[in-house]
Amino acid sequence: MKNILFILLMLAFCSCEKWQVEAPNLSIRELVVVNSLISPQDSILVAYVSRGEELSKIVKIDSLVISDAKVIISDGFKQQELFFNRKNRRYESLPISVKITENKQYSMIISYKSKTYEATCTVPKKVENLDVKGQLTGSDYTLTASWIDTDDDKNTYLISSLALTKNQFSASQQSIIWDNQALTTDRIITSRSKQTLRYTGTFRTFKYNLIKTTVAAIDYNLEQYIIKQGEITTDGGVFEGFTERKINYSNIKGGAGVFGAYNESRNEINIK
Amino acid sequence: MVVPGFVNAQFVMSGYVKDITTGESLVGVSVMATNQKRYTTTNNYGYYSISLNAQTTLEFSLLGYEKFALKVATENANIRKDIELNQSVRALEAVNVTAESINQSERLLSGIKLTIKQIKDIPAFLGEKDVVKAIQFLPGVQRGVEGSSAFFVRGGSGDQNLIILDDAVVYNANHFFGFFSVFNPDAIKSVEFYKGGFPARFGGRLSSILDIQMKEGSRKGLHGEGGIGILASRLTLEGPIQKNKKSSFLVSARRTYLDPFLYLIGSERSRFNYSFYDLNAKINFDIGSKDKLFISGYAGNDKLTVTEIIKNSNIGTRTFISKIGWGNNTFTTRWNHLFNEKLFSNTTATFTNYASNLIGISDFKSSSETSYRKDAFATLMRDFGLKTDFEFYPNATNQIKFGVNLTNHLFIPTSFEVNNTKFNNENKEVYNNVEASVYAEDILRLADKLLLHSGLRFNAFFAKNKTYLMPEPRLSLSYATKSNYFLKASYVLVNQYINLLSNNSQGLSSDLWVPATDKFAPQRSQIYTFGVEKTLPKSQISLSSEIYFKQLNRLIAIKEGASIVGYGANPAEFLWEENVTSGKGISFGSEWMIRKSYGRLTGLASYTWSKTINVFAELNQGKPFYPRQDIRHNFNFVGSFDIMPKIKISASWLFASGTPVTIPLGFFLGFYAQTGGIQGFSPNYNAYYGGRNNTRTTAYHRADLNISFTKKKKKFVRTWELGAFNVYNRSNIFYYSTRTVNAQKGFTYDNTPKSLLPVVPSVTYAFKF
Repeated sequence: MKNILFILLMLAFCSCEKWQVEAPNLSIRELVVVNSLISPQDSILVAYVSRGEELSKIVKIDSLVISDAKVIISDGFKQQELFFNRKNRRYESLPISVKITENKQYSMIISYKSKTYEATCTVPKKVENLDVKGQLTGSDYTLTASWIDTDDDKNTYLISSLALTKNQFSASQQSIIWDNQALTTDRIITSRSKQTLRYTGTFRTFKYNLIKTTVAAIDYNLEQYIIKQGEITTDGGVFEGFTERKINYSNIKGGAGVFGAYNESRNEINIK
Repeated sequence: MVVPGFVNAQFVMSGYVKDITTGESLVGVSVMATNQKRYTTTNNYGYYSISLNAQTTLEFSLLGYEKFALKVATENANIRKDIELNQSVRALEAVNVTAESINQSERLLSGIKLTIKQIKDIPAFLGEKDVVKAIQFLPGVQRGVEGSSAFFVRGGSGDQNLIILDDAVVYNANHFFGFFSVFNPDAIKSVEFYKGGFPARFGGRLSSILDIQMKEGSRKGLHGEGGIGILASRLTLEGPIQKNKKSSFLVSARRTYLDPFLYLIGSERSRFNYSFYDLNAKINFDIGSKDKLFISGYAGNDKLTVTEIIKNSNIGTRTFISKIGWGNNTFTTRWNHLFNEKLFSNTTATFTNYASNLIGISDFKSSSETSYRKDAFATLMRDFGLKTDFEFYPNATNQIKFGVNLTNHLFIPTSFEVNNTKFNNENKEVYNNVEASVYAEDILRLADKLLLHSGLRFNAFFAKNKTYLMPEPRLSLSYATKSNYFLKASYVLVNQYINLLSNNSQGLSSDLWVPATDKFAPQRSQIYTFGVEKTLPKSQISLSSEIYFKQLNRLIAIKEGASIVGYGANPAEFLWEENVTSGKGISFGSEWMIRKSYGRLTGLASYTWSKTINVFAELNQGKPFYPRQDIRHNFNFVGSFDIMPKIKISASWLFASGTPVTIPLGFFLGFYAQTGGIQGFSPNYNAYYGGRNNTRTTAYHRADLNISFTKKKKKFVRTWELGAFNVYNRSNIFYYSTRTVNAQKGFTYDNTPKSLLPVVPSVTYAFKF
């Protein structure tokens, strides 16, 4: 009987070898966080490098910033190092020698304290035919943005709009809430086939007279990062506690954060 | 008593075994022919059938009843003999331990039977005795969150437990967020629990079967019992309907009376209101000597309302109302028919309705502006079932069970309503599925001490565009050694066609039942069990140990960050299938139990070592993780001691090592903004989780005490019970509150463990007549 018990236990344990659960072996203070988004529209390459902090430790952003890392972005042929800008507390590259173009893959390598962290991303194709129309009804303004998805691949877009008062941009602006959802603001839209994508939002104009709309094609990493960040930031209101714990997304091997790409189309219309 | 007859003829002795005081049929009574090594037990309706071939003495025994011996002389004709058992005065005697131990081996191949007396002996929170919480003391069973009647069996999730009341499925067995189960023990006759080696007559759940039968009601006079507790009161009445004692009724009700107290402690600004009720009813009739009809039903409901009113003379009045409600209704009609002494049938029609809702209302009124928003989320689960089960006793060594089952499931897993002054959105998904099954099982005595319980269940589940046809073999084998050890081994394959999507497994009403679909195939489990059991007749102690290995496939879980109530999503676009993902898991462990069912001191102690690991491609970045039900060590003890015939003390202690939870391990700088597009992104603080279930809570342990004083009055028996829950006031972790602190000096995250229940005393007055 002892033999049978032994064999059964061994069988159970052997079959579980591939089911090992990884134990966290990293101190949170050793966690290196890299955030960098690249785009053909940007005139500067930027990366934020910082470290994690333990719970209950009161800190300011400056104390988390890592200033002595080595940050390199490469397109596979050329590579460019980003240098720490003390004023902006980030790594920057100006001018850009590695040109950011669509459909091309880029990699980022960060070296810090004898460890290396890596990530890659691919710049998505830009929306070429963004059409934004508006209609004023009383004090309600209905805005419709549409564009054509030109291929059958999965494409993801981030649409955002700002209503502004001319000449007073910083003082009077309001994010337009797409799809009448009081708790969502910018929207992520995913298409899996050729189609015309159309999104409509309504808002009270009050004193606004200019609307800026941006549709950014985003890569998978940025899409996942925005979704998870949105979940972490969104308050569940009366249903808080009924949602799963939010897990951070990261494509930085060995660290946290995101190296993502986007490609923006912009539109401005006046409210008459 | 002697039944006359002839020598050496093969004949069948059959009949019903009943309680002598109430006429209630008794389930699981051991029936043993002492000199022929032939055994059987009464079925769920108290019926027994045993083939005999010689003069013998039949012994009928059941825990809590006096043993009854019947001398039988053989006869050339079958004998129909109904037996009545006397409740033992003190229920302390070693009632036929040998017979009990032998038959126990047959039962333990598939399950464990708990008597209502055993359940009522366990100290209970606020004195409310609980059928489901009693299960949590058994090895291999892990409790849910603090105080909850939710339970996990051998690494399975909560929805993998089939809970049936008189054959009708109860989808949410929780009251008061799980602090009480919906089963009022005064209305319950028997509780049988299977955690592996499921007989083929059961199916549809991967981890356990909890089969609860309601009392039928006394046929010999009006009886009643009840209790007045701090939280709720209960009353049960039962009695004959006709004078000929061929019918009876039972009505049982329980209700909380917190409402007025909660109103009083509330303020104009903030009020909290909660109530629940249970109502059980049953009637039964004998229609001739071969037919019986049972009609039973259950209705229960929970309602919680939280109201907050913020008045500001300058701004206006803002009112927030949150309502949560859920309830089960079941209805069962059963018809027993005896074709002959060897063939018993039961045909059952069942109806189950489970509904829940969550409503959030925000109302603002001022002199210049009004606004109103209502978010409503509702789920509905409705089953109509029809099944026929046959029990055939062809000879002394063989018992065959077979049957057919047809169930129509109606699911409305997500029903939304979002109203405000500007728009209304509504979305409803409706699923109508049929689940059909046929089964056959054979309990065959291969040799004197070798028992084979084999079975095959064949299921068909009709999803929208796909039909799942699934055979499920079941096999159990037990062998009694010369030294009276029972060795047991079993293998079962089982599929599950409906799933519970639960964010936190707390038995909250947001739990969403959904069917297997074209996209998500039924969950599947294979369970291998090996066990040893030994009964020590002298000390009346039974020792048992089992090891198990369980493979779980096609499990489904909610994606990370997803909400099953669709909050924040456009209701018109919300589909639950988009928010879940499938994966697999394994669980294995070793369970030990020592149990004493007789004598002044009764109780059990159990220890479980187990490990459960899940892998989902879309969870935890595809890496294996420990699910919530992975608790490495579990030790439970419950004991009851009769200090004097009228004074009883009982105590329990539970210990469980840490539960996996996902909480922030630290924080870091993210890069994000909700508005303004990517141009608006800037560094911000983020909690860092690392991985799913990245840490474990501290160990859970708790002791409860209860002392009861019983006195016989002129017309009734009364019992005062004094109890204490969490005697040494252990702060067990209920959840972690993650707080962000934005101070002048900087920013931080805090993780504060929150406890729920401190030491809670209770006093209950119970009566019985």
